[in-house]
Amino acid sequence: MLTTLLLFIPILGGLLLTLIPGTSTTRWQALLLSLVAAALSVYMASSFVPTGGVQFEAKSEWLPTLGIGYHIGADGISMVMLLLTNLLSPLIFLATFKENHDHQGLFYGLMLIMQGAMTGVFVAQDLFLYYIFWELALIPAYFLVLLWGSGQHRKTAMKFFIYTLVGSLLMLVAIIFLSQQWSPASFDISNVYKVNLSPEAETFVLLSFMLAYAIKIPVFPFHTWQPDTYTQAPTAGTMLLSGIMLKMGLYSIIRWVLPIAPNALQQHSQWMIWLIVIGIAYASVIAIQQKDLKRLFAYASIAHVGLIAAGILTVSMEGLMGSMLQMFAHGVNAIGLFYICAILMERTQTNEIAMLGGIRNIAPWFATTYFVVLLGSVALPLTNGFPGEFMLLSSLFKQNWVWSLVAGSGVILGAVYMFKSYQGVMLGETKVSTFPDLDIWDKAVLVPIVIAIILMGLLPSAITRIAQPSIEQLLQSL
Amino acid sequence: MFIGAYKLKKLALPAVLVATLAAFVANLLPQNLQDAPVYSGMLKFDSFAVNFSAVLMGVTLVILILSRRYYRDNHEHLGDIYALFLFSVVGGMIMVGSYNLVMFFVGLEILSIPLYILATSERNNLLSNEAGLKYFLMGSFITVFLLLGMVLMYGMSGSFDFGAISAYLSSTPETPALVKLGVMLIMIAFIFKISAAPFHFWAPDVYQGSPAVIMVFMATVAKTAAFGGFLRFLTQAIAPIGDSFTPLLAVLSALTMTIGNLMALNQNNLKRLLAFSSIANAGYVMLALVGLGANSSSTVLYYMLVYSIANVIAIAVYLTVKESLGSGSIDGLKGLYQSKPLLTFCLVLAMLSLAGIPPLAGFIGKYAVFVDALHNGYAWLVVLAALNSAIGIFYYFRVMRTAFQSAAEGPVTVPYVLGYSAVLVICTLVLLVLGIFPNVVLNGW
Repeated sequence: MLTTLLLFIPILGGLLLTLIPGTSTTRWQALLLSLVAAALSVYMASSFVPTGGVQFEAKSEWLPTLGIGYHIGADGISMVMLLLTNLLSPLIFLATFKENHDHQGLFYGLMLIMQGAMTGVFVAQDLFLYYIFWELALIPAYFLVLLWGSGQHRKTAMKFFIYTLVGSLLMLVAIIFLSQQWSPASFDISNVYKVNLSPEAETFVLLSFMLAYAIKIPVFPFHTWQPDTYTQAPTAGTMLLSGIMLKMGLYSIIRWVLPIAPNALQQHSQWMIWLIVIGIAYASVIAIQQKDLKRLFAYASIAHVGLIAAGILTVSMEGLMGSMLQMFAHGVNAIGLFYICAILMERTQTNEIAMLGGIRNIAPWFATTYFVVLLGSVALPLTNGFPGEFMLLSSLFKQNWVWSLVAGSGVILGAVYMFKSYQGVMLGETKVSTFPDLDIWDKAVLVPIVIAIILMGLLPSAITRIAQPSIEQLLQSL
Repeated sequence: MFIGAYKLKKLALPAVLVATLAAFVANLLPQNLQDAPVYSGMLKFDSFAVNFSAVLMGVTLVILILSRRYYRDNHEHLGDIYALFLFSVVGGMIMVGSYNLVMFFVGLEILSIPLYILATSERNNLLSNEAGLKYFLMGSFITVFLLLGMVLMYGMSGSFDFGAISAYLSSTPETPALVKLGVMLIMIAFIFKISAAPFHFWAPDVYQGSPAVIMVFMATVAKTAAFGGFLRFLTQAIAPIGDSFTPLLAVLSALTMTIGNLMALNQNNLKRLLAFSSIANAGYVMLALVGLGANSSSTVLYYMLVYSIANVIAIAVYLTVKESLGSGSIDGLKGLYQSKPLLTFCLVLAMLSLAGIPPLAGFIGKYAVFVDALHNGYAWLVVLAALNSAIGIFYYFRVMRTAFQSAAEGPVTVPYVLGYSAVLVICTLVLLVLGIFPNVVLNGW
């Protein structure tokens, strides 16, 4: 029941908001709905008993003749993602409060629908239901880029949509194929997990699922939609995409690919990880050369999530735990980084690193918060990036030390471009005439992020405690 | 029995609407459902015929409401136009209810001939005249094939009756070549009617030229009837040898959807775009025929119903906009969101549904045809269809996107038009309900 509420409060509220014309209170209504969902998810997490099983389950028939049921629930892995989605969403809403968007009703309504749909992806225990939410999350994202983007956003929105849709459609074919292994057809997770596939069929399922996820995450070489989309989307859209939506792909690898196609994955994981770690180094090298701050962060994101994906594909306890931590940390950091871009854009009308400089002298609050977020994303010990990244690299090292070397060089390069960008924007001679320091709205977004970065660095066990039993159970079942 | 309701050919719309509604209800009454053929074995009102007839009449009903506003300046021939609509839908119902090749032919002609006339009903419009003539010439030419096919079937099996043909085919171990030729010829007529490749060339011109309400009638009711009729022929008359035509249907389906989608990419006229979209959709529905099984009829019915409703919505929005701006191109939709968000909402739903994006009804329809085809082992075709759906996104989304662009000449005012808005409300609700509860139609019988 709680899960159903968590799912439909944002979706129905969002639908309502899209239909009524926006007023000055629309943003508050949206924030309120989003906060209700956040409170609900915190309550669920606090009453969650980490046993490894699925809790808060709801199950009823929907389309029995097609084998499709309404089956939702959360185990430890889902729970972490639920927290991530619903705690970050209110921050993302807050981050838009200073901007003045046309069609407020539609803007906030779409964001709420997206929040609900992403929640749906994380709680769906039925493959068909999962697919519906997976696609439902895409529609608002498309409109956010299309209607409130900048630059060549029309083209970009189309490229983004088509790219991700092609992946999803092939996944759909694989999903149909899986459901037909049962007679009558069934999409329920308990049945899907039990499917026995021939090696060829397993490879087919693996590849079509992985293609969809590789595009969504995105990992090299399917990343070409990402820098444009992140750069041209409105701030809120970029935050939703990088902070939460790409985790749908990572989560789905853990939830569906590992249990359904473990043998095929074992065969193919070698070249996949190779591709990903090369992508990490590649994205880092490109990031160093970026002149635009938002674009730099976009490439940095490819490197970071590539490491998470590689860790998951090692199918080891360390890799999976590290990925859970790092998914959460990346979400928090990405929102912080892109909010910093938005602040710069608002006050200087540019994200060009060369045009900025010396801001630290006139805006100490901004300089400090930016620096903490930066430390988090270069994974300094005692920040949230460290435990996850450490575990991920160590899981790669245990299987092939060359991987950890290549991926590790990406991490080192990460420190280089991050600090270089900080140097360019904040230090040196002051090139901007005026730069007001953080106001109350900025603090409302950045202070919670800074707190989260430090708290998670000190106490990563808050997250590992929830996820660990489920991951152990998953690994045993393979 | 329900055809009798049509004898009341009053001139006013209310009478026509009431008659259609009465027929719709009468059609669904349990007494109507009987498994034995009636009228000397000519028609058979089994659940298949009843359900298809219900969809035909339901869609006709909303199109009639549209046409009242559309033909508001045409007082002289209004009665004729309504009568022709009704004749046509009766033809469609005869087709889906036929249990005899002769009746099948009669139904097809009753369906088509009024359409030839209706296509030209805008007498001052050159394009409309051209559309009617083109449709008539092509249509009557194709009829010859159908007749020849029927004659061949009769010659070999000795009967026009579906049951007798089926019995003959299952008792003949080796199917004579002439029967195969006959089926092929009948299939040509069917492929022409649903505007599938390679007989699709008439559709874009005819759809573009015809008045919008006629166009939507052709794209929805006439097509549903053609699919229903052919499905009946496949399942009840030539079921024993139906499988031997599956590969051919698969190839035609692949061709149809690819051609339809690729050609639609560069269209600027909304009606023409919908014409190519309807070709592409015919290709998808043919997947259900390729994967002919127990579920096929409900799949086809569901798909055609959802597709029809989305088309009606698109046309209703188009008409509302056209009334105040007078432009038939997609660019005419510019600025729609600023002046009428709700109208845009309907359009977006229709386009998303046509593009097959979950959780809209169009997605469930596509999913159902994919499953049917996969059951029969046509994985390559399903993959191709999935890729085709991705191509479809391009043009459906272009329509949608245009509505959100701001108009060059500042904000436009598009007043709501009662007749069109009523249809929009009904259709949007039905579309949403069908998306969330597809069981109402799908596999419901």
